[in-house]
Amino acid sequence: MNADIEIQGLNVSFVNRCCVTPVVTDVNILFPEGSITGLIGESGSGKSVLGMSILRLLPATARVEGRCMYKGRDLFSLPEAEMQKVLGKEIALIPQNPTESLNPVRTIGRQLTECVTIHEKRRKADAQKRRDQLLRCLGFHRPEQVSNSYSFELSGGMNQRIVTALGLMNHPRWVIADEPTKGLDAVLRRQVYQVLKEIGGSEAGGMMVITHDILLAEALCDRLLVLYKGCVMEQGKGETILRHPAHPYTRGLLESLPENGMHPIPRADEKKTDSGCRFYPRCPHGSKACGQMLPPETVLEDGRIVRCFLYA
Amino acid sequence: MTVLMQYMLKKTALLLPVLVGISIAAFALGAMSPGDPVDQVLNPNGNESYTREEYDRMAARMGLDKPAAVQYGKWLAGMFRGDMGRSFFTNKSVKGQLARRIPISARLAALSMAFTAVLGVGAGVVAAVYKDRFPDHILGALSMTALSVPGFWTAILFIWLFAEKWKLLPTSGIASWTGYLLPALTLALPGAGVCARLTRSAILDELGRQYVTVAGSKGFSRFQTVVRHVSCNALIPVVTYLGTHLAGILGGASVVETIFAVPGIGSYAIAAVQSKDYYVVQAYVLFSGTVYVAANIAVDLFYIAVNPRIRRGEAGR
Repeated sequence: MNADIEIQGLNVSFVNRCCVTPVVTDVNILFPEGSITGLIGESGSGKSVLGMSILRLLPATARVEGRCMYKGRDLFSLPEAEMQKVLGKEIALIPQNPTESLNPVRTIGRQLTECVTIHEKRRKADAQKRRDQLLRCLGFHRPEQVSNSYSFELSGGMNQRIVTALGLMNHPRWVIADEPTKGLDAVLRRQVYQVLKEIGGSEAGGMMVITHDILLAEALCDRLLVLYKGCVMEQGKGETILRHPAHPYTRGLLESLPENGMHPIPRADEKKTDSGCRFYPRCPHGSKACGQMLPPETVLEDGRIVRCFLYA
Repeated sequence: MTVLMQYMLKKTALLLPVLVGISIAAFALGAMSPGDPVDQVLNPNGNESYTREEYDRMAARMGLDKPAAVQYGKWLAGMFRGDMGRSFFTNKSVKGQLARRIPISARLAALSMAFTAVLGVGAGVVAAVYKDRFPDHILGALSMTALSVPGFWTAILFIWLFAEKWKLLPTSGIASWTGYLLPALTLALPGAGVCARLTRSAILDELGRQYVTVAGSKGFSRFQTVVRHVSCNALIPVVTYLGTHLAGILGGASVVETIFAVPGIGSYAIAAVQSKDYYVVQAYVLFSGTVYVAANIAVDLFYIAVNPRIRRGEAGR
């Protein structure tokens, strides 16, 4: 069966007693089966919230609207018991903040194998084999020793690779990797990248990679999503977007990279509001319409989808 | 295992001076408290007279004519031999009395502990699961009441309700096992209140951690997450509290034992304090102090069992 993930009309906001804070607005994306999509954007742009909303793991204060179609079913309206069968098995997570993502009183080995045994109790031996294989791939030469350790006995970089293994344990169809290379040096980054690339290539896995690391995104991803303040500004083939960015924000983001001369995006103009286009207060090309309504998503000739009045 | 042994040895070694301190405090408490036991023995009703010689003879017989340090040494030596002395008044061996009374207090403490743990942890878990909803509010109010109402008041309320009104349970004494129920419950309520609040906040703390979300991403249900991931982490503060609480009620349910006429060590100690029965008070203080220390070791052992941070290496530091 077709294993695309298709998000339609996703809106996420956090609700507390005083106010409603929108964090993701009107997101429509198709993640084709087997593809690797990079989610890029600055901190607070809603990348992680978008990822976690697919897994339905947002805190109880989050209000999620829209649909997320997977194998003919809407994940957002699935009963909890059904969703648990999807989690970890069909769609798995490589969480961010690795050290906090691991339980300090359970051994690493148990936390890895339980990804498999929670779904099928009898596959314990399989799980152990898979665990050792993954740990070796990720640069641990003595998997048994690491398995017997606790998260506080390992370094941040080691834990980062442990959570990478965690997401891949049960051969999921989809992996959502939240900053998988954060805190790793160049050598280890390469190793993790290699593993993700192999998984993406060989095990028919689709992947969403949430990252600040645009070089990683370029090397690893087929497709890119550029987020700004909860809106997808531009989506399409990675190469096209990075070579010829269409949206003014994407252009600004790329120009601000050190290798491109580090030209920062100008500060927000306080007289302009972001109730229309989210980027309007900082945009050098802003027109009157930008301040009034959210630009529609426009499909360009090369297949890209851009949310900007320049192309509408 | 060597790290573990080292850790235990270190803990035990640190506790030795504590025990010595308790023994000195226990002895000093008797020796320094106002009132004269010799006078109490010779003149228990306050209207009998005695001569100077009679007084000196009695003081010598009670061993109270020697300097305090010598008295302490003799007393401590006796403790090591298992001789705790005799009551000044009844002339019964303190050891024999304790041997008869400790099991009664222990039974009461165990039952009360069971109530505390079941009510406290149970209420805490329910309150955490229904956070900010009706059951949470009700349990919050109940636990606050339980921990703030004094034991003697609860005792009177229970006696009135269960014994006078409904005639379900005996008012006092331990003729049958039902006699333990009311005192145990009275003793358990404040602890259960504290325990419920601790459990609730510990579980909520842990539920907010990221490893809980990650467990969810593996396909754990809420319940499985709580059982396999949260419980061990959340239990640590709760068990610490329960350990010291157990020590507290084992060594000193004096008020409740007195109200319900339970012949345990608590009521024994109260009677002894009233009549300045030194040896009994000293033995009692030493016993309850030792129980407290032992409970602390037990809590430490539990820590080691559930907390790998101590089991591994950090204990050595």
